[in-house]
Amino acid sequence: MTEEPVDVLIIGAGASGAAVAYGLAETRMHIVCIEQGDWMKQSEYPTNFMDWEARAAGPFGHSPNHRGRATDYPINEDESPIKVANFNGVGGGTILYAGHFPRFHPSDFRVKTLDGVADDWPIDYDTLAPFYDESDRVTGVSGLEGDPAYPPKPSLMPPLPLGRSGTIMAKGFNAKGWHWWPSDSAIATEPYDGRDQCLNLGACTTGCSQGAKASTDITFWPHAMRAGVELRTRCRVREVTVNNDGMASGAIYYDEDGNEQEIKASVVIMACNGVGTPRILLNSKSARFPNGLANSSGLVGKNLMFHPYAHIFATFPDEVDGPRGPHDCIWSQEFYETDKNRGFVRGFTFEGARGHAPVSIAVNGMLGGQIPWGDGHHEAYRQRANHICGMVAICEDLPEEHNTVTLDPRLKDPDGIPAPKLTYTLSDNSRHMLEFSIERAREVLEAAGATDVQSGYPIVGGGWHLMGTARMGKDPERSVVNEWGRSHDVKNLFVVDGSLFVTSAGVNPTRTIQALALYVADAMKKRLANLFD
Amino acid sequence: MTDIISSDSSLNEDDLTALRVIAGTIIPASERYQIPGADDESIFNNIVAIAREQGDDSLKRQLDALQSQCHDRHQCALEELSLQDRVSLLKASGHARFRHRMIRLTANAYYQDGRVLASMDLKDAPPSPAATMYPKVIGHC
Ligand SMILES: Cc1cc2nc3c(=O)[nH]c(=O)nc-3n(C[C@H](O)[C@H](O)[C@H](O)COP(=O)(O)OP(=O)(O)OC[C@H]3O[C@@H](n4cnc5c(N)ncnc54)[C@H](O)[C@@H]3O)c2cc1C
Ligand code: SF4
Repeated sequence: MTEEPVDVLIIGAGASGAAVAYGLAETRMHIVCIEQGDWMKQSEYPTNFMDWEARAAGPFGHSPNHRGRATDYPINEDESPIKVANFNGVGGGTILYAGHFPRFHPSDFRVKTLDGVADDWPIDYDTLAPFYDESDRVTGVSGLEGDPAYPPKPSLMPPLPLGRSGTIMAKGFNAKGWHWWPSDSAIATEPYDGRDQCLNLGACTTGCSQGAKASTDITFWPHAMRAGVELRTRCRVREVTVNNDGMASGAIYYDEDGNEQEIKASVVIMACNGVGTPRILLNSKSARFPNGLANSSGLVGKNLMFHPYAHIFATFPDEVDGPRGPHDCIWSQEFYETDKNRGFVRGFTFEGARGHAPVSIAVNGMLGGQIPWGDGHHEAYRQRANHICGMVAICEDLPEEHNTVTLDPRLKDPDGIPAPKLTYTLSDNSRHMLEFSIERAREVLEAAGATDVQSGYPIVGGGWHLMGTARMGKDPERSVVNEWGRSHDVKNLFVVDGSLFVTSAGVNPTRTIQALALYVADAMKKRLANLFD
Repeated sequence: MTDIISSDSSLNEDDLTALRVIAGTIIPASERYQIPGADDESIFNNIVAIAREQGDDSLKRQLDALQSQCHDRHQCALEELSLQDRVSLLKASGHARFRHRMIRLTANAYYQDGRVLASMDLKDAPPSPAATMYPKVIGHC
């Protein structure tokens, strides 16, 4: 069935899809977003149930391969030491994200100029700053103004509580004389825009049943829909179609019953994330675009970046927060900028973590050998429960063309669409950075009074951040889209998700993804009369 | 117990007995803290319920492999072994996946039990909707 063409088709209703829909809504064009997943219900999130940790590992697990919802697609990640964590539904990854909400630093847009690695972005921090502000207003960001690591930025709500864990770790950073600051967070500490404030339930990465965490299903989407944007769920796109002029003409998708449908559109916007977008572009082959759509540079699916993470946790004699409160509490950007004496370029952010929930303590302790089976189990458990906290180091991942998303020749999703295959290796630069971060974190934790520091890298299931696979740039041979998100090859095709990233920075990406989506929407609005020139 | 057996076609009574012994081996009861072991009836029911939700028959195969190894090595059933022998059998190579799975299953059921949580002054309720109150951070109010 083919319906009347729409003006704008957005594919994917996650962080970027929501933001671009919101940004374009005021144009009053006929905008339709199609999303393979469902709307989520807060009453169904795990924290409403006694067995919440089991549910969090099951239907709300982070791996699409293990979660196995009908709305998920499989990913071949055999050739990647880091496995994807995502969520497919309205809100996308923000349904499960922790809400860590840092901005990029100005230096992140200029790594080639500053450090001679990777590429500079075609835009700078100042270009994005107003869109960061706008995204922050819709999201509702908590934080403490004055962080010396950043240019001035407004804070809308008081920061999350430091709690016992944050206070202990802050002591460690103070003892070393190193930077720390209360984290910026996409979690409301006061009632905000119809949402209630955080109650410190402490299970943000299983979905926030309180509605305090800013997932885009409860932030951007209600506003965009009130302004007329239409959102259709359970529509899984197979390919973007093209007409005889080489312009995108819409998409073919499967509805909930597996029936093939076609939607025609004047403009197509990809918002399927750093894995989903290259997958669909590569699958959109035609006589005119035999290597996939928007791929004359050959860079669609290349330069995949995660953020390799190190984890460093320790036991403290005093009680810590454990599972009480959001993950976010303090961060440190002491080691953010390049210092070549360290043996690597670029840097990382330490993000404090309050502690673990009861089941996780038992599982981690028994698997790690710190909590025995049988005799001694209860004593060892009690020494650790609510006595473990620590931090993760989120390391900048530099783009490398051999880290790729391709189409798997065999694996397919339930509708028969080829699944993505990841090929990724951890670079020497990343390894050196991860090892350095572990040593510095150990110093902090020991200075804070820790015993028994445990660490490791990478966090295997930590492929939360998916970036770089349809990068932006001015040179059509070195980038997939231009400096405002439009494909170099197909002038009515745009990308707004994490695929756009030229480099990954050493911070979580979603605040920047949303700001970029708003920036692309703004660029489109300014050029509506000659959008395809 | 009968309830579980009748509604779970893949695990027979021998399997359930073995599973229960293993759960109690991993987390035994404690007189000191006055708490049950993971072989307690209601905790064990939860273990089986979680296993059933995971819904594949690999648990059955893993259990069968362990039981036959027990017979080969010790000429007796798992429940007849001493605690030490049971632990060393479970820790023997070849059972790593099963071991990890049993740790997860047992911990998930055990550390959601109200009696266990209450013994540590942890909340005997789901996280939502009861709040944890923190003092406001320095610098704000
Ligand atoms: C457990 C977890 C913790 C995280 N923590 C943080 C954090 O603390 N801070 C932070 O900044 N980031 C965090 N992230 C990452 C964050 O969620 C992502 O950066 C963000 O959601 C990416 O936005 P996006 O628009 O690029 O893609 P997504 O939000 O992933 O949205 C893509 C959407 O497209 C849909 N889609 C894909 N393919 C198709 C198709 N073929 N047809 C139709 N629809 C399709 C998907 O279903 C999905 O809803 C976390 C993620 C996870 C999973
Ligand atoms: S800690 Fe706060 S943000 Fe996180 S799940 Fe609980 S109420 Fe939501």
